[in-house]
Amino acid sequence: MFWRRHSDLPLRGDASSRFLPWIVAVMVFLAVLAVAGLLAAQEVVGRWQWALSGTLTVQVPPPVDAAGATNMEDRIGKAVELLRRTPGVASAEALSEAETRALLEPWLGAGAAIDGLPVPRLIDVTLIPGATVDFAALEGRLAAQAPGATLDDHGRWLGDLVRLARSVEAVAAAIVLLVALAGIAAVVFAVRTGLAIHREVIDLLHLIGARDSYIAREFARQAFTLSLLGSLLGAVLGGGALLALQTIGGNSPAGDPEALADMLSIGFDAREWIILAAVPIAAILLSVATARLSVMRALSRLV
Amino acid sequence: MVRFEKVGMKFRDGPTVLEEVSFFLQAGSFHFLTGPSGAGKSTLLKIMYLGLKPTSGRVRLFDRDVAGIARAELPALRRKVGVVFQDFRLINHLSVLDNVALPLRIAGAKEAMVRRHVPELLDWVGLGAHMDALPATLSGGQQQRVAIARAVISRPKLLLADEPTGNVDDQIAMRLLYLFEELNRMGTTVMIATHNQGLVDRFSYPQLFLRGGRLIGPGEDSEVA
Repeated sequence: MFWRRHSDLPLRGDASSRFLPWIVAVMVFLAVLAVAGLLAAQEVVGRWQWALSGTLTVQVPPPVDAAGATNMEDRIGKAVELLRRTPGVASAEALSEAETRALLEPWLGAGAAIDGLPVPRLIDVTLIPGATVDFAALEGRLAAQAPGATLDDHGRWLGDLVRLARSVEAVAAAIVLLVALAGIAAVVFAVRTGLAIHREVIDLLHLIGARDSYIAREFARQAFTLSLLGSLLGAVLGGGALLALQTIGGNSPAGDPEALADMLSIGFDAREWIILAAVPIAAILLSVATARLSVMRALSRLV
Repeated sequence: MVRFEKVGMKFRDGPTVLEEVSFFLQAGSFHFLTGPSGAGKSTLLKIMYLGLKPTSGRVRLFDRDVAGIARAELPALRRKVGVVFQDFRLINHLSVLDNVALPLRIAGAKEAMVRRHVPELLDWVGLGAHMDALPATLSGGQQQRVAIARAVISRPKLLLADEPTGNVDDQIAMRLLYLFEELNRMGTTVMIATHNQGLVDRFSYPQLFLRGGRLIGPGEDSEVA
């Protein structure tokens, strides 16, 4: 008989409490997705920066006349030679016409006749990690060897992408914040309703000598139980959604490490899964703290 | 122990319930508070168990001026007062045992102590067989005994009972009053509000008589001991 001790306040049957697990579940689900978006954006930016920061592309424009055409290979050769001699450059490889054709294939189609088109030739340059290269001076020297050659360090493109990714991060963080605020509001509402419904029992507990903290503990315990249920449900749904996304990402044609699909795919490591697992735990702690503080605040206004 | 000095109580937009009530209860004393229905007995008790603040006058409880007690200090003082409410105020979803154990648990008593004392007391008030029952399944008299057990379980310094024998037969009423006497002998100051004059007359304890919110007769504006 002693082990069947019930809570002093019959909070379990409250209508306002009945919906709290579902609300928390939705909040945790959204928060898990938002935090996952935040982590994915950070990871993608990191990967882009890693993939692009150590490379350069030199573009040698097509000749303007037929005479120049004979000099094209010579200009490319000189440019490659110059690049390989440049301190900080690990390798410089000119893309063959076939490789250039393959690059254009997605836009022009497989059978496109590009021989007559003024297509520039590209030189793929890899830098030694950590090396400092004066790009402006290098571009000047390149122009002397191969007139019209330009150097692209991907900075502007990368900058745009990073800005985009940072915006995604900011939106994800805002969603997490809004979800947390909505969760707090739901708990506060449930607590206030509970206080109103059980006013008589609370008065009695006070008269018997209960401190506000004793009553707040009852509400906090109830918030813990309900938010635990909701958080588990939300975490399962959120985790399931992320695994599904990862599976879809894993099935994309991402075998080629340079493929855009691979750069955009999401994949979480152990540290990131721990952060995601902390979301439902944070939701439970937030619910319990909100319930306790709300009750303490409301009771402190009583006589 | 308890001192009332010209205490008055008037609810907002309502009648004056208590007027210029003065008395003093010595520690370890036993009193009956009598008077007709509506005389203000329950209100007076409410002020004594710190459930109401008087609108005028001065109340001293355990040598403390009630008006100067901070809210945070109230629980400690209230734990020294056991109250049997007229309407019992049992918590319906808790078993008889849990209702009676409430003051002990609120005071932070160990569960072993609860297990030892609560069944013992419930046996004493004749409810040993109903420990797991919910209050709603008990008769009015049984509920009243649960309320009394809850009021006395923590051996309060001051016991206030509002019509504690209203729903029990004479035999049980006498038994309950003997329990109050027993507690009184152990040092608890007891005040019992009742309009059962026949019961009061069986004991020789002093009476405070209230009528129309005023203290009349023995004890009026004087020390009652």
